[in-house]
Amino acid sequence: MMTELRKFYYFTTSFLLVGLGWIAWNLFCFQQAKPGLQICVLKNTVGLPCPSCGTTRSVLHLVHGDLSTALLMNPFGIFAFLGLVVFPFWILYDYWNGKKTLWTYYLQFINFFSNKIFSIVVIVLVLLNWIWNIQKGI
Amino acid sequence: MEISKVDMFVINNAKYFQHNQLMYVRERLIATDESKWVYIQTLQFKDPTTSLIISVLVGALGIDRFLIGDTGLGIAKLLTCGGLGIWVIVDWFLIMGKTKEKNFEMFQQIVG
Repeated sequence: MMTELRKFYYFTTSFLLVGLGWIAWNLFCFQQAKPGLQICVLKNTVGLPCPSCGTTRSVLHLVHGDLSTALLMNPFGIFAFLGLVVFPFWILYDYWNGKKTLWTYYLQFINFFSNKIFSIVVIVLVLLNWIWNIQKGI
Repeated sequence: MEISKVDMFVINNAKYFQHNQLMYVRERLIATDESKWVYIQTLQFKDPTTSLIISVLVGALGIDRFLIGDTGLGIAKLLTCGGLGIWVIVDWFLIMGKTKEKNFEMFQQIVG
């Protein structure tokens, strides 16, 4: 049976690969001036954007070095961009050194959510971002 | 533990576990000491049907994953518009099994 640790690394690696592939494909579409694919289930069914709608466009602006437009598009894009840049190197570092630093930090991060105040602050921020998204009509 | 008690527990809680886990649950309960009965009775199992409803309605926000205690995956799902819209659909089929797995883990922590 696969251990939790292995599952985590397999999942994160495939998640990053899909993410990087998605960004690369969207960059290609962006350069060809083609519209990207609209994949959001919520937007396609209800018509309202979800809290993370616009993240791809935000990352694309960041790739082109346009920080302010990226922030205005969706602040989640900053986290997504940092994750896509940092995590591949982190995983490779863990893989080569036979360490599990990413797993340890992940567990610590998840542990923050057992703190009620932290959870509520995160939920409020996500909701505010959602309201902002709906208002922007992304 | 008494067999009649155990059987009653299994009948009442069958929907919370995978069918192949039920025999194991029954055997473990029979072998368990009577003193743990109170703890086992007070366990709050998550209903797989509820998580399926949540998954269909607000799965794109990762709420279903938060509900069953997978905070990390919930965040990942939330930040990626439900895993580019694909993960949401995959989870409609997986979430009931995952909920039952979580219930089984909870059961094992007490009885284990």
